[in-house]
Amino acid sequence: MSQNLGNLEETVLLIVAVMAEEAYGYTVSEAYYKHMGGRISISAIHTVLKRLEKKGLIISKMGGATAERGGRRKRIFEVTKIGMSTLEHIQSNRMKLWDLMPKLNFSA
Amino acid sequence: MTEDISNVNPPKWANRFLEWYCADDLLDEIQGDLLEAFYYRKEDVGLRKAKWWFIWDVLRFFRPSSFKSKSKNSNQLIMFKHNVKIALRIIARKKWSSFVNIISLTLGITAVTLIFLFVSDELSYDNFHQKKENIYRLITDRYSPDGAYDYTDAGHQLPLAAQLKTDFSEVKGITRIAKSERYLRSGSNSQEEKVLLADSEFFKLFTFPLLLGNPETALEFSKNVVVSEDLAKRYFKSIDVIGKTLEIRQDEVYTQYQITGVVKNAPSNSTFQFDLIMNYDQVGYYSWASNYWGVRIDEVYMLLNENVDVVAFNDKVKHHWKNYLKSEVAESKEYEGEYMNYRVQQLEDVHMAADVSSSFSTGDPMDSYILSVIAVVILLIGCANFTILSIGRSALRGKEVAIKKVVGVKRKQLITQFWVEALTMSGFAMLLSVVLIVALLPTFNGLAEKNFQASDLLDVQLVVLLPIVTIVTGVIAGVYPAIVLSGVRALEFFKKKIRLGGVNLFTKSLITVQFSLSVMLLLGTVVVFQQIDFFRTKSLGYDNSNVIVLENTLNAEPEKLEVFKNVLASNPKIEAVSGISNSFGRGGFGSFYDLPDGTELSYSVYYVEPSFFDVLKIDIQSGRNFNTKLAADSNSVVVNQKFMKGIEKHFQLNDNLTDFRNAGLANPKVIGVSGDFHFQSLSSKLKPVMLLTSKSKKAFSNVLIKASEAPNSELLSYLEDTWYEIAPDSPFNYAFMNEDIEAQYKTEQRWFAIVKSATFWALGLATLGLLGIVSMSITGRLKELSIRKVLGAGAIHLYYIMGRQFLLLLIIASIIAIPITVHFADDWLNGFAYHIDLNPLTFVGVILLIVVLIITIVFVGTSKAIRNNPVSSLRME
Repeated sequence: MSQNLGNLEETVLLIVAVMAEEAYGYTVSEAYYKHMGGRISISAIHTVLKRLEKKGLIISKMGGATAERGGRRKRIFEVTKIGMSTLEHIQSNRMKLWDLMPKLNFSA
Repeated sequence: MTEDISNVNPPKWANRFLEWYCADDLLDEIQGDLLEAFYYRKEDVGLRKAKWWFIWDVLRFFRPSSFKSKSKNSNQLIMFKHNVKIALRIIARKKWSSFVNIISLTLGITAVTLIFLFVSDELSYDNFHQKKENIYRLITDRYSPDGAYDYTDAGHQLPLAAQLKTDFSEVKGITRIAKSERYLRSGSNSQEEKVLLADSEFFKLFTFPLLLGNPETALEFSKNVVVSEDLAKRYFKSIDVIGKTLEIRQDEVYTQYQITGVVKNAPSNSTFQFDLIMNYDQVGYYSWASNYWGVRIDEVYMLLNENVDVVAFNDKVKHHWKNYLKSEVAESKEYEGEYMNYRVQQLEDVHMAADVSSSFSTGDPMDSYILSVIAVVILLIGCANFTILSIGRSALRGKEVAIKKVVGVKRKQLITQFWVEALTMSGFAMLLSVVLIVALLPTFNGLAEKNFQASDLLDVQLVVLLPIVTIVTGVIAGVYPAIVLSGVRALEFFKKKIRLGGVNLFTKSLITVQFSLSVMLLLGTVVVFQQIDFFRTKSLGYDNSNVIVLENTLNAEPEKLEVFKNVLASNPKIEAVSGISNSFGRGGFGSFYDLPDGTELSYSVYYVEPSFFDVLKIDIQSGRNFNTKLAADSNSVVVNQKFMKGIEKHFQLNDNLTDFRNAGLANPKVIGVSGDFHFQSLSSKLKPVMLLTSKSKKAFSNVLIKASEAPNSELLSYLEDTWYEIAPDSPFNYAFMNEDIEAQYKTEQRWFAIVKSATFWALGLATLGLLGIVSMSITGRLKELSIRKVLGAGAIHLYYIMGRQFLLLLIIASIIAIPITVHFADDWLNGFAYHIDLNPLTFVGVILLIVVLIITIVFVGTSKAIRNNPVSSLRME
């Protein structure tokens, strides 16, 4: 079973996995900006998160409310085992490919 | 500062909008995230930007996945789906009546859409000019001596335009415009092109963009012309033609003109259509008149300053002519009221101003009105079919309604149900009518004299209009079932206190209306056809068969025309040749003769040659033909009988007409009287005619050639070769006289085609509807028919029983339709000086035709049921 992951989905999944703090819409979008440099709207992040959850790569639970959020609760995401193994799978495939890269040095 | 900001909230409306559309269970995460983002962003990027960002995010979340789920308020959606499902099932179950319904609505929607295309195109004329608000045409209201309004025209004297600009500071720009045709030569063949004569300010007023060239100077210099994109491509295969020369034929010779501009082709909804624009002043053609206030040739368009009060300006120009037109001023003294008044007319009104005589083709608002009425009639007939069939079916639907009511369905929901059903059908009809419209477009273009393309259907207006027409159609068609059927009382229905379905009074009146419209349209078609046939077959007093009309482009070299005629004389296939000032149907001129008793005789003048009478087979009833050898005959005339009748109190054959000064004649002698002939269309009364021989052959603009048999290509190429051998520089242009004459009835032919198609549609719709209702009513009366059959009724008798009610309706419809038709037909026919009389037999014939149609429909619709074994239907329950 190989999950079909889009580029953005993979990135967001990775972000959720590496985030130390709570991962929810706003923080993921900020982390994306911090790590990737580009901006994507929160609505796009929500869509991706929802899709990842549907694929079983992440799970969510409702978290606490804060004042900045106007008293609204957060939906906090965590990577599942499948999500983790999918990431590892992708990574190892990539590494295999990198290993095949001719190790020639033309700089001299 | 930060203190202030921390308490600021995002735009309230955006937040509320989010709360309105967002599903409750998603609100926490979405609104929370957005508020949090706003909270931090206002510090990072500033309040203003953060607000915009928030709004943007709210809009980005506005998508189905975040919407409130309909499940909480789902009744409507579920009911809607249910209704559509029921509608589709009914369409599938009642295939025949659904087919009739959908076709009826299709025809209605198609008619309305096509006619909308026509009307909106008519109304869009000249609206592409950017300065249209401030462009006006100068027109003249003319009055009769007794003070009554006479007519309005748009022609003016050539010096007027320049004078107006000098006299009125309100006039920002002005141009004279006239249209004409000119021969253009490239290589050896010459072709006639549409020419617009204008002044140098033309492009200042009108939005005809130049692809190449400078609009301010393009028409300024001598011998310069602006050509259309299309002409450039035709003659030079490229639009890069600035500086190239064109040879344009004018005053019998070709002159070289330099191209100084290429203009985009005029849109089809432009009053001005042209291939070429030339400058008025350079057109030597009119130089004799350029300072002459005696002849009206051109139209004057002006651009007024933006703040001009048009009412006040009209008052100022009203009597402007009094300063310049001396003879008119003298004449006006004898008038009781006004003599004439100038007034300006907005550019956008020019196309629809059918009442202003102008050389530019105008549309007639009447066309739009009549076509719109036809469209609405067809749409209503279509909707009537739908209603009739719905009523016919309502016995069946009544049970459904009653049960639904018992279960607790509200009336409003039932109304919605029936309307959704009607709308579903009209939705199908819309799809079909798109196909139909595309298929009919070429035919429609022919009728409407338009040039619509299938791609025009994507026009914004139409894309909006089609669904609107569809919805309106659906709503109209669904009114009856929605209102009446939904009102059925369940208890009364089950107790069989009310009878639904079959043919009730309402249905009967609808059918009667349909019949009346069909009878009217059918009668109209027949009357128009008879009148056109009358035009075609009425003896005109001359014979135009096998007559070829040549344009005389040899005016400057009459001796060449003589050579041409001499050569033709040797061809046995050519009976006779004559020059004529204007071939019939191509204009001409008339005048008045003041008789000794003070009355006026209005007559037309034709310059001819002695052979004229042979070419057109017109008899000289008394007196003699012209004799070219007699010098005196240059002051002699032949008149027709009508003319003779007009002067018989004062003059006889061989008398000299005293005090007659016209056409270079002085007291001419009447040497012959010819038979009468209709040189004008039959819509005008036969007119007195004076025929005279021309002193100079220059008076002939046409040459008539009578061939001994129908002209074939061999004869035509013989003529062309001969012509070019003698006059290689003069274009050869021919037409057939009988086609010229037929062309006079183009408008009538077109109306015939339009009425014919409308009739075809209306009759088709009525037939469909009737077929539907017949098969409906037979289902309701199956038992009755079977019992009658068992008791011994014959098939003929049963057909009679089924058909008699419709025949009765036809009689009522005829009683309504015939007087209305007679009224309109009389009106129309009275517009022609010569017309048919309405023949009662025609009416009888048309009604018999419909009777036969009804009988056929009843026969087709009922024969299956009547031929059935009565047992099968009696055993039904």
